[in-house]
Amino acid sequence: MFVPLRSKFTQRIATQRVATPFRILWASVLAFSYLFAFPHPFARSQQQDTAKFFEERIRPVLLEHCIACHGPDKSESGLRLDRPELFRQGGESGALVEAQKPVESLLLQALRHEGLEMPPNKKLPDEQIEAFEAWVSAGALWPEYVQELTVATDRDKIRQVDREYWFFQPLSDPAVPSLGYTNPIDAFVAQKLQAQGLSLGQNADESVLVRRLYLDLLGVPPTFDELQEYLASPSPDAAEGQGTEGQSAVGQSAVGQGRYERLVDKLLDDPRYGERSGRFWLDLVRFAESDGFKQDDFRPSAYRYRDYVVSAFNQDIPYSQFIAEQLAGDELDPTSDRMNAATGYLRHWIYEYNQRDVRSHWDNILNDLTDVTGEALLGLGFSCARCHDHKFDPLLQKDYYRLQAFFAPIEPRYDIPSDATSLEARREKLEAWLECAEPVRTELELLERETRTKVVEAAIEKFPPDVRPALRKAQDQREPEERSIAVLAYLQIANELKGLDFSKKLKGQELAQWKYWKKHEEELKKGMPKEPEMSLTVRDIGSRAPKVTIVGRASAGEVHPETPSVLGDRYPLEVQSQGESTGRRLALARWITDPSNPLAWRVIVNRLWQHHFGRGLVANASDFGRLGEPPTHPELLDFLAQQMIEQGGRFKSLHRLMVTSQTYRQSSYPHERAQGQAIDPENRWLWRFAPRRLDADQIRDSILVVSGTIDPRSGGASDASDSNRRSIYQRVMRNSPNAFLATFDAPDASVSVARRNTTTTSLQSLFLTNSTWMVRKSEGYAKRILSESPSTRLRIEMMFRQTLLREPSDEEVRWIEASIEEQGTSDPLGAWSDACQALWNTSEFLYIE
Amino acid sequence: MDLQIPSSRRSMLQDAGFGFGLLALQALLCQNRVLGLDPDPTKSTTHKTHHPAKAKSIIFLFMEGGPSHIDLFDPKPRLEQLAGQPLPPSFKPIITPMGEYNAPLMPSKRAWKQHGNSGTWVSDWLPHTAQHVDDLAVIRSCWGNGLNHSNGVCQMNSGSTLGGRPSLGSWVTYGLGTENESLPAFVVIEDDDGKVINGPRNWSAGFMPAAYQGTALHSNGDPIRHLSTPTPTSPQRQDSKRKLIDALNRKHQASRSIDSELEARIRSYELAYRMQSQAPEAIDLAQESHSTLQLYGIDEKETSVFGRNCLMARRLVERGVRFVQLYHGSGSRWDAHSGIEKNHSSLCRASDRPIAGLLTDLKQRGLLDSTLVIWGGEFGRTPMSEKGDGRDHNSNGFTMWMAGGGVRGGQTIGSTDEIGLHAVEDRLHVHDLHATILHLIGLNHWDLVYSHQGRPERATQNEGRVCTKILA
Repeated sequence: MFVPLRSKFTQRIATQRVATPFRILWASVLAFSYLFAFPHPFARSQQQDTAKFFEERIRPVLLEHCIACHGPDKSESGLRLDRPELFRQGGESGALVEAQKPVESLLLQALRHEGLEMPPNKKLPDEQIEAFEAWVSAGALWPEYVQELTVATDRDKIRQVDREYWFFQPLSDPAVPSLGYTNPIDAFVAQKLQAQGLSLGQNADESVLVRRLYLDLLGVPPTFDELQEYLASPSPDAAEGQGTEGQSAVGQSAVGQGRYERLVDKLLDDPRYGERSGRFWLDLVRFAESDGFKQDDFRPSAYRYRDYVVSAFNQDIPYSQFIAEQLAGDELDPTSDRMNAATGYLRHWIYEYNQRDVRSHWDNILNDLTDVTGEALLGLGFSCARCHDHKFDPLLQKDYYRLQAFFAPIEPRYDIPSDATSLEARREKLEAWLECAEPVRTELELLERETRTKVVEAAIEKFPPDVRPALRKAQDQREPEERSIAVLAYLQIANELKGLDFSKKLKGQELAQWKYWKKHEEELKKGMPKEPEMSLTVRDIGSRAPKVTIVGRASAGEVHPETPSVLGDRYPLEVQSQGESTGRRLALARWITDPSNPLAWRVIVNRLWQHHFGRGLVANASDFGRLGEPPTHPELLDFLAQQMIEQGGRFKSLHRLMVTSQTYRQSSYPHERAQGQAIDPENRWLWRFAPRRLDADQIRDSILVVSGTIDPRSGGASDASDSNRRSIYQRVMRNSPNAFLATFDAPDASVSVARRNTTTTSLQSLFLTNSTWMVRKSEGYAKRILSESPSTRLRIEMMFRQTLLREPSDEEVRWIEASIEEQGTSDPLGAWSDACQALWNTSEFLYIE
Repeated sequence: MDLQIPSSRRSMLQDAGFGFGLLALQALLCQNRVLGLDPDPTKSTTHKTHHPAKAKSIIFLFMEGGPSHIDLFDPKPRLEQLAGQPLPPSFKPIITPMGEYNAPLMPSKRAWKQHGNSGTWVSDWLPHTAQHVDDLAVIRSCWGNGLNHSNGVCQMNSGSTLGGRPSLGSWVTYGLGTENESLPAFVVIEDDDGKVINGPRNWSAGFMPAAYQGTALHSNGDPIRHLSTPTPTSPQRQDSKRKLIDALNRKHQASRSIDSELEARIRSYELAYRMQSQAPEAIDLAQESHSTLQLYGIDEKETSVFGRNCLMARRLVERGVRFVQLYHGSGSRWDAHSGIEKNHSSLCRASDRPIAGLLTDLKQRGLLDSTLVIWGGEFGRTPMSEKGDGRDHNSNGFTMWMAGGGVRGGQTIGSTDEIGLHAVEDRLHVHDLHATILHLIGLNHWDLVYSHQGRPERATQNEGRVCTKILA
């Protein structure tokens, strides 16, 4: 039995004490728990349930709390709990489990601290005790396969097969298959296709291809004129008589600097490229401009992060720089506006303005940063390892906290101007005003001080008792663990001060004085320069980091910022503190994008591939572990990663490589498609270009372009209500999403999204045919058509050219004519508006092919 | 029926003809599978339950803001003795959002009575509901993790206090699909004026495709947004536009038959068209008799708003809508931090008769057996007072009730401690409630899996136990 801490006598008393009423209560709890523990609506055997229950609820507790004293090392009181037969045998105090009266089992009494008290220092949480009650009631069964519980060391937990998993291996240097293709992508793809008995299909029609390229790189279709200009431009292909349509791909030589390649370069240089490419990144980091939660407060400077991303893509900065600036811009250059904008990456978490449990809130914030970084940058589902070792991948719970330890030293800051440059220009004015205001403010401060102190003290009392001492300390006296919690608490306290009305708090002469000075202040305020906008950024609390421990396992000791265990020292990481910063985040950023570390490079090139082909070479773009799918083209994946590294980690070269490939230029509907359909209906081997619906931003932006209403201004603060600017500039409020974008599957910005869902719903159809937005746009467009073209035929042609980039067929002309006629002459605007809408509702318009 | 393969899916559609079968729709509407990327929801949307179940639909009556369990269903005589005292140290303290840590305990001012054959306790605030206690399973031992409304409502809907996960209605729709494709499968009705905290995030499909998200239904104007044009247009004009879209899309699709998604898009316009006529009909209360209107309290000012919503819920369920969520007191109006007497009196008055009317009506139409009715808020309230005459949030112990499909009525499950602060006996976490609700509608919370980014996700986040006591 467990060590008897009390004499037999007190033990008996204790047992008596819990006699009747409690017993009855417990009996019913147990009966109920029993039902809970084994509810068998499941199509699963009793054995499986026993095993599941044991593994999830019993084994971890035995391991963590019991076998250190009652195991192979100590076996105190002659009791060992590490083997089923020893468990059944019991210890010096007898059997642990009463088969006849499970409720009275010694084991349960000890856990409930009735008499015996186990674990001796601290009672287990109720849930765990309940689990044991259920388990004992059901016979305290051990799964048959369990012979011994051993405390596995981290090293033991990682198996050789884990270390050999493909994703953790260094990048290979695959030879390009020599199949006569100039673009290596085609060689890799063709090789796989050949193995399936398939081949690359014919090229898409040029106007289809140009539209595809515009939508892909810029997010909007070309205008009809742009398309015509392209088709009229000189082309080496044309000179060599190589029309693309209908031509067999095999053996076709690449085309050098043809007009298509020139177009690719032109589009990559177009500033709209950043607006398009930045989109997937913003989804990935759950970018939003509001807090989420109840208040959903607006974050006025959040847009600067969006602008940073757009400009980073347009400037084609290296991926390593891109990551370092977002993770550790403050450690690179704390004085730079650009860095303060980039570190917005660390501030996109949801924030609850009235969460009294600031400790849990901060934990959630760190969890969120850990989850997003694990998924978005490392392509691993770290969140699965938050509460336990990952069930499928070799990520230990400890690894989760190792990653978290890089972020643990951060402190959100609210006092760093987002635009130091313009502030500098206004500095004199600001200082002059402050100087002028100072005497007044000093007087007010003196009068208000006492009330303020009282209010702050009362506000502190509203926080849980264990948090209060930290709040009463001066900032520099706080322990590292207390710093960010205090920040969260003081945001709430500041809110209370904001609402404070001193005219109701002060009395007599003080009140009179206060009113006098207040009036002065009001006067002064009229001339007050605009308050500077503060950036959404963080700093480390200092060079000393807070201690990170595994949640619920603090006794296991501090967890340091290190790489996942499975990697061993394969890709080493070293943290060096940076002055007032721990340097942890910079070290992480450097490690993530170190050319020798393959993880992030595979992940990012796969994202680009998905961006262009709709589906990544690894289908689950944020999970390269065993739960995802293995890559369809592993050699190509590594080849692309190597390419990107060789190109200095720049995106544009990769885009260029991809979109100039034959693979990308294929038709969606090749003439010869029976075989592809039969062998590979899902197009995993890329025998055609998979068509896909435009995403929310593309649909909205396309209609703005086609209807001629687009407002081309880029960057800057977002538009609060729906405007004619591109979708990326519409305000992202988490609780009130833009109706258009949400209807077409734009993410809700609460978690990292690697790939948007694409749905087809009747609500979308209703939106596109009935919403005010659509009616306004189509009426505006109809007006233009009516004024610009004199005849029905010409109007129809204009509509088709501008919307679908082609001439209408005779049949289509007849349909539209009939539709217009059907509605009579009373409302030509309505009739034409409907016709425009109809074109914008076509699959031809809503899909890339 | 291997829906992974577009060609066979297509032939399946052709077999089913113009109005293809109920089952195929959801499958088609989630087109990602055309690319073979996302998990295949068709496996679960074959609309088979995991086990036989009585309930086919759910009506969730969400009292938003947190109704006080100790003033409605969970009498605490001990509070009379402790009135005016601070929380005795024998009770584990809780975090109260408003931070009145030493506020005195406040007994309920209600008159309490046992009702029905079951003798279930209900306070005099809910006289009409009290007449139905023999159909109710009152659960007094619910608990959750939401300290504030935002995370409480989020958890009661999605299982998690943080956003991003699918709502329970989405899980049910994902698991069982719809029985009437002309109406949304998951419908949400807010009160007339308030907006539910967190907004549409509460009925979002989270990481699932939007096809599974809840659709807000409005009792004024268009019942579903964009059901009609901003300025009314003639049916002929609507029809003409629809035909034109259809003709253009069919021509385009003809040479692209390998992509069944394009057929789904054509189909979505047909469904939208049918929804345009069926949705207004579904909520058109003019078809109801005077006595029915009276039953729901629609004839009285205080009860007319929620009465209408409850009656709409019955009509929707009748028409095969799977999950109807009615918010009462939208905008946290049950949140009685002060003046709980006035606050709860009027909210109870506004909701009690409509809810009783709904139960009566469902029963007399034989619908109660196949409809699971759930009542509750995001949490309960503290036995400690706040601001002298109110109560703060309490997610450590609160009451919900269920009735109808598969529920054994006339019982009270679980208990809170002597003062109603913590659930103690038969504790049911929100995950347990969700597991139980899914069980009642025929879904096993372990087997209802959606693969998100390769990870198997479950409605109860791999937790939750079915409360078997509740089962009939």
